[in-house]
Amino acid sequence: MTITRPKAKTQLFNATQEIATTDFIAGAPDAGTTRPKGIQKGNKQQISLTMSPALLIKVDELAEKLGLSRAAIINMAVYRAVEHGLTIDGLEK
Amino acid sequence: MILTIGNTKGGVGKTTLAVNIAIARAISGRDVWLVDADRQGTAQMAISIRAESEHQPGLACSQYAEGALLRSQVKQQGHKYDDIIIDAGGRDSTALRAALVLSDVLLVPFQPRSYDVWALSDIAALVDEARSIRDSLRAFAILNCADPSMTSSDNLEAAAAVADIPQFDYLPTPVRRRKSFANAAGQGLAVLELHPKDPKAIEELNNLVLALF
Repeated sequence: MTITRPKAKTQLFNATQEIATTDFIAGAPDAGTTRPKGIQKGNKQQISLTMSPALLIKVDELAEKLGLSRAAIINMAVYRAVEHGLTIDGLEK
Repeated sequence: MILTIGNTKGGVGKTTLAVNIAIARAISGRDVWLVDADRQGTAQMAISIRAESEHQPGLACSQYAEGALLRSQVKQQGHKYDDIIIDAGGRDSTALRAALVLSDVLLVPFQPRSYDVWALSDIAALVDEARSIRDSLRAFAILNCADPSMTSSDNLEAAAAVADIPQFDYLPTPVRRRKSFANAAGQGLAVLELHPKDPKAIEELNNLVLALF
């Protein structure tokens, strides 16, 4: 037999079913508590971050002044932004 | 066969039943994988206690509290086992939902108490949702920690209440409230292995396993 029957409809059905299944599983109340992918260090997640050298110098100066680590300053700044919002050009975000 | 023992309500005896059923199947010569889908990891702990005391037969046991991982692992490893028993935690979770997608049979234990009966509609709603995306999920409700009296009206009333929930078939093999179930499970044993023997508990477990498999 040289003619292969089309399978598109079944595949489409399987794909729809797969989406429905993953949506069903992800619909549970605890779904949001999963961690992002990547390397975990203790309770923290390791990320790779780049920033301009000028900004980094300022971060390090502030860290030095407050007697904190660079990571602590970055974490504090990000925490403030996430929890209390950002003000960019006078607009609250 | 993949059997999930699950309920969105906690404290109904899911883990105790799961450990007992898994061991009973292993004793009858089946290759059993007990999957602990609860973050508390109680079933996993029971099986590790069993392994440490070198009780035979041994059981494969894994813990996956996260639904996507549970699903991919059972799909990948499932064919290696005769029976897979999934103990799915006492709340609506990704792991419980993944178990509903994977299982042939769902066993919902409930106690003959009002709160337990009220909570049956929550898990029934999840069963409906699971059935909308898959075929042939059989769901049984079973009285666990039933009152020991054979004439208990609470048992009868609770069993009758299941008739109002069309998603479940009532399994007429109640497991009654006996210390031996909890004592055995705490040592990583089934009541079948406990000394001194509790013949009533053994009969109840055997009847349940017979009805399920």
